[in-house]
Amino acid sequence: MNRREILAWLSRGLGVAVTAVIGIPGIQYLLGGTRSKGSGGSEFARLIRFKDLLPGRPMMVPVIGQKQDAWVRHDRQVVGRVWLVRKPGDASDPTAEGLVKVMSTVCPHMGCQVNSQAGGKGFHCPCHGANFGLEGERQTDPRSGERNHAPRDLDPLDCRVVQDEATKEWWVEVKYEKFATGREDRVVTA
Amino acid sequence: MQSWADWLEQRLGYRLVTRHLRNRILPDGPSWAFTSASCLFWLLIIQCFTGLLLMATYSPSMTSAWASVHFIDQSSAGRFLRGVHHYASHAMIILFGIHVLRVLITGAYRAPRELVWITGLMLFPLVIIWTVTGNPLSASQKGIAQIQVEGNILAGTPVIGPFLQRVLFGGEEVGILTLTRLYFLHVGLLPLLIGGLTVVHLYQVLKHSPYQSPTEESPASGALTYWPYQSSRNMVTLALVMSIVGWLAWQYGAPLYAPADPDLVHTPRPEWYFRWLFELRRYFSGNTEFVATMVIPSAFLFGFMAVPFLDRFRSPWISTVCRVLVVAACAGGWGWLTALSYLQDWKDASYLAHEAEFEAISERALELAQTEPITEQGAVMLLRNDPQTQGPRLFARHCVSCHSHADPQGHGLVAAEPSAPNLYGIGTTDWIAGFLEPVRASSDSFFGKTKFREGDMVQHVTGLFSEAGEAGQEGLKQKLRSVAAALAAEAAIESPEAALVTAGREALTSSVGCTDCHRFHDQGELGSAPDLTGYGSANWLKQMIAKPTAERFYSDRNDRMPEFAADESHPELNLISPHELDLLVRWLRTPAPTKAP
Repeated sequence: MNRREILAWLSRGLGVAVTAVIGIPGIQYLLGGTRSKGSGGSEFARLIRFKDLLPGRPMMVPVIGQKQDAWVRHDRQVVGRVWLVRKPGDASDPTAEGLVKVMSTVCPHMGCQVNSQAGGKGFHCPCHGANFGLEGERQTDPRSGERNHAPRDLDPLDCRVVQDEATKEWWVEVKYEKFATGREDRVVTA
Repeated sequence: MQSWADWLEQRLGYRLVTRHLRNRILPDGPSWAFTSASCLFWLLIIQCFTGLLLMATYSPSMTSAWASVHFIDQSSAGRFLRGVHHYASHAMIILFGIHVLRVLITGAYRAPRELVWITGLMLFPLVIIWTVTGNPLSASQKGIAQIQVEGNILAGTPVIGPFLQRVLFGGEEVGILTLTRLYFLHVGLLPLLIGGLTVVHLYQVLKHSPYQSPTEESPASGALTYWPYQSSRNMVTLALVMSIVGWLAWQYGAPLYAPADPDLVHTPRPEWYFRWLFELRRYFSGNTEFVATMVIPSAFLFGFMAVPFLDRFRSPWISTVCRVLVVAACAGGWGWLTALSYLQDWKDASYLAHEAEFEAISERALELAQTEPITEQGAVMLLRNDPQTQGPRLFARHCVSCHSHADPQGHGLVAAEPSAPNLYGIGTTDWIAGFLEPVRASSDSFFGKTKFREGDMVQHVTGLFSEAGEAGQEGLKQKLRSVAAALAAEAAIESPEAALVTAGREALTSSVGCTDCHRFHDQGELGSAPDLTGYGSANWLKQMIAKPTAERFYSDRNDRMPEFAADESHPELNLISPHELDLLVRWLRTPAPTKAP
């Protein structure tokens, strides 16, 4: 290797090094962003009194929690919404397994909010027309026969019915989580 | 003048550059078909210029973006400039499509111009992303809802998707950083990329254009040089496009939808240029979704880029047929899918209703922005503090499972299975009078579906009518009308005649016997029926909704009405916040309830 070639490689090498010094942190910076921490993720949040939940009538309730959004912390903000369904029938024991079902309102397809179908028969996503039953199971559109576009059923959320010690009232509590959309498996995002 | 120009020329030598541009000779002479290219270039310049001006006012923050855009629309010429910026972006996409198809038809991509073609095609998705990042900058519900879904689509790209989404959102989901990221992309990164690529693209075009000898000062007589034979055509096309864009901007301005609010739910639909993809994805689901959103568009892009290398037919005739077929298939397929998508929505009554509701809310937001101040909490508070907007929504969320709010024609919010009184006109003389007529009181619009259908109230009123006998009917009716007026005076929504009110107050406590069960000011006892003091007033309604089981209202005889805000010490555990309750009651007490959206 002669002097000329060495100098040429030196110029290239130093050029690449300088680019890397700026480029790598630049990409890291853009990818990093902030993690917006929802508070509902780890703990149960109180949603609604059990007695206010009418049997067979799906009810949409906002989940209020603390939320860190970049440089702002919101102490009381809607972090998400859930659909609550109370099965018709005996309510003598509010804690009975499966009496209350709580599902995320976020459509697992593209993340739109699913609405309740007329007559409370189930749920409907207005974006790509996906229909879900009261259990959140995917259904084909009865009119067009079109299959459901969602990759999975509506996301069920961990819930429990507990009695308040002071007032002796029964409350529905939920552990709110968000899941990545557009995939068959459930991956918690926040 | 000439001497000034000569002075400058001697120092700068600028005529060498302009001569390059002016004395070019297009292979087949000047043509209208070639004007799309220059028109696109000038639109790019116009977009940069109008965008730069908008930057002088626009504020890229979730709380102030909408308000600043509204401010631009209010400032002199601001509305026009924003309109031009908006409609010119659509014009650019249309012209870009025409331009690509024109180059394809004429085979202008052939050697040595492959890179002209490829850099041009690289610009196409960049220009689309440019408009996509621009639309949500107004922080309207529509724009934010669109970028949310577009980000989710982006995240569906294999391998790099989630990273791209993070760059776009500035986190896991749309937040305050998202708007800054969009701004960075829209006014920073993308103009740099597009500008750089445009320079390469144009340099290639010029490099491979035939010239009349560029060293000569003036063109040979009779030569159809670029200036002025092609440039005049270019300018005519540009003027035509700009007069349409300018007219739209002048006439309609750029749209501004309701400010983004996590409380609002909007069903996003993509802009017209994405409708074909929106339609296409209906044929894929689950894990194959990215075929429609990523694979097919990229296949088109790379397929087109490969055209100069594929077009090696011996016979020019076959080549022409192939090119015409490709252009026809692309234009036809695009048009077909786009039309299908719009047709789908047009047939969907619930979507149309939803869209009309959103339009109405957006209009209301603009109306409020004219009269109400926008505080430091941002434009989002305009609709949040508006009873006319929030009332029907709160009613729909909390009340409509039992109550309707429908006028006599049945318009408004109608419960699917009404099981409690229709609250339309609550607190008005006519509404209160309903409880004092046996037939109406036991009808489904009042107590018909409740346990009070055959309760003391209905029985008492029925009793009054049978006691009065044939002759006393008219007199009793007159007396009950005065009672209704007296109670309506408590609600103070209407102002009934003073004489009628005085007579009613008298009758209430005596001959009609209301105070046998109800309390009315200092007469009667609480505990067996709702308090008539301040009946239907804002305070009465708020307390009633908060805790119908209170002694002042139905106490232990409450029928199924939930306690919406029973817990005063922990407002966060109540079904409805004090602010929401206030809005709901203000809306219920609106004298002539406005038609529900």
